[in-house]
Amino acid sequence: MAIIVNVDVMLAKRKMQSKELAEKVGITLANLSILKTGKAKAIRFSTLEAICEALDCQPGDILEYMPIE
Amino acid sequence: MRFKGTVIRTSSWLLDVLIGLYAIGFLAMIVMLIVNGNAPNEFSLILPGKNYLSWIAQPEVVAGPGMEGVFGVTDVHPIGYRLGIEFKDNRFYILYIPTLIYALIYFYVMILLGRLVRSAKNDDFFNYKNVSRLRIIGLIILSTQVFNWLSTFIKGWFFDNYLVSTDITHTKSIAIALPNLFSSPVVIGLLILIISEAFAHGLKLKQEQDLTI
Repeated sequence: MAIIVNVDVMLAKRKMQSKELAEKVGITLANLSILKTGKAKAIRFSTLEAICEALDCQPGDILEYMPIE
Repeated sequence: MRFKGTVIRTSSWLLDVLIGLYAIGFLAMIVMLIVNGNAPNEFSLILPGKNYLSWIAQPEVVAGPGMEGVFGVTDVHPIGYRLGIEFKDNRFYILYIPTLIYALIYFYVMILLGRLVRSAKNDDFFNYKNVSRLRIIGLIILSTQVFNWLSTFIKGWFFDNYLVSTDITHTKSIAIALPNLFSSPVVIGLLILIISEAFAHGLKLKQEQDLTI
């Protein structure tokens, strides 16, 4: 997929663990893992909002568009 | 929910009983055919009445008392003829092959239905295995109609080439009577195929929903 999810990069920057983020956002670790590995088909605005709030960042910091060559 | 549970439990039980009975019958047939060697060498050839006509020994049927002015019986002829054909040599074994194939296919469909019901019982109905099971069942049901047409053709060919009758005439009718919509294998097969496609689409939607975080 041409959309790259950079949650793990932001997690590293904020020195936060996946478990902590999952708890703050209110999703399961399994779903966070789906998001991190790029298997997710879609992300709800509410989830994106919660992630941005928890990581104190903008949606652009988490999502990146990279055209497939 | 309670109704659903009852339906699934009953269907599952009935299918298990049917599969069991069918397996016993099938094994008995195989044993009779191979081990015992006493397989019956007499076969029935059923000629449908719409294609075969005979004017011999027609039963007389007239309108009942008081009904003579209301209606009259214009034509009486049987809707089919059953010919018992006894084979004098061992070639009759060939005729068991289509029966065996048909029995195996029937058994396979029963097993597929059993698995479908079992997956519903385990609340795991929406998976790709069920989609392919439904597709296979639909295609098999459609193919039974093709086999039916084929068998009608073979019967006609056998009658024309290997039997002689001065009393029964093969009219070679191509008239197809309108079948009962809900008992025609074509309609049922197509319906099942459409359901399987709807199923596949539903499954895709479910997966997308599951992968929405």
